Amino acid sequence: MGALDNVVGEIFEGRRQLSWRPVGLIAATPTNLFTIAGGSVKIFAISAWIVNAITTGVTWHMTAGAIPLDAALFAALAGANTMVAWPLAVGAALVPPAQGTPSPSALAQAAGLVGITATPSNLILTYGVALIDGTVGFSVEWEALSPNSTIVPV
Amino acid sequence: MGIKSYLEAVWLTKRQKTWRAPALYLVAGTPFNLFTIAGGPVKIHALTAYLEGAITTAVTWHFLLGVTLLDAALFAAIGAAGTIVAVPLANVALIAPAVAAPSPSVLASAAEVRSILAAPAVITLNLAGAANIDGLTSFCIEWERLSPESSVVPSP
Repeated sequence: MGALDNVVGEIFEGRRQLSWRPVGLIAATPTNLFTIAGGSVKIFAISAWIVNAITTGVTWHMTAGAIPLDAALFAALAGANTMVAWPLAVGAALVPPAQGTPSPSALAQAAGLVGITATPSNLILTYGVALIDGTVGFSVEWEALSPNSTIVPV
Repeated sequence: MGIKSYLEAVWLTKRQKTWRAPALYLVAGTPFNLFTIAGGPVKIHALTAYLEGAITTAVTWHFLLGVTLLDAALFAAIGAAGTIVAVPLANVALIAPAVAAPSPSVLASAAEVRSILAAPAVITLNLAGAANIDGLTSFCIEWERLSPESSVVPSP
């Protein structure tokens, strides 16, 4: 790699990145949404875009490996074209899907949480009896904490 | 990764600013479409109004993301030329125009709102009452993509 490549690479590694999981149905539980590999990362936000309505009360939550990123399973209907901000903390509840929902979630912000560190693992979505019958896209905002750290959609 | 891939990734996550040129906003034309979010979700960090000319009569205005309020209530204000308003992006009150206004607004910060997630929609300005925004006013939105195809552009 040339000198310019090195400089650009160092700039790239030091800045916030975005990983996007395209919109689709989540047909099975648990579902691996993203894989963290190559080293540790700092995660600032995980967001879901609910494109089509979820028509039955669904219980869902997310984990990094086995670590919960929200307080509890959460029952919610969701209107089409709404957003969910994961609190990234076991002590904070999920806020119902809404257009214009705060990110970081207000509950995470109140708990003084602005980001988490994570080691290689999967970000996993689990849900209860009701299917997530609307299509959903997910994004992760993150930074690499080592040169080879990545987060890629599964 | 090569430079092309690096630059694409940097561009994808860059904080963007979209600006709407100065204009007058008359009650007869309300509501006004200010910005259009399309292609996917975004994170909005700030929405600000810059009063390039004075608003000489008390105007009542507020902002919406689709049908979601970005402030608590209609707001009556006279604004001097060269002042700015930080829309709180939450169900809290607008603060009167000032030369230096905290952004996020202090009321938004007190409500733990630093930024919001927005699905595709139009951000609108609504006027009520009889007063026009009779001073030239421009708008700026600070935002980030949450998907590769997301965009925010001034509405026609």
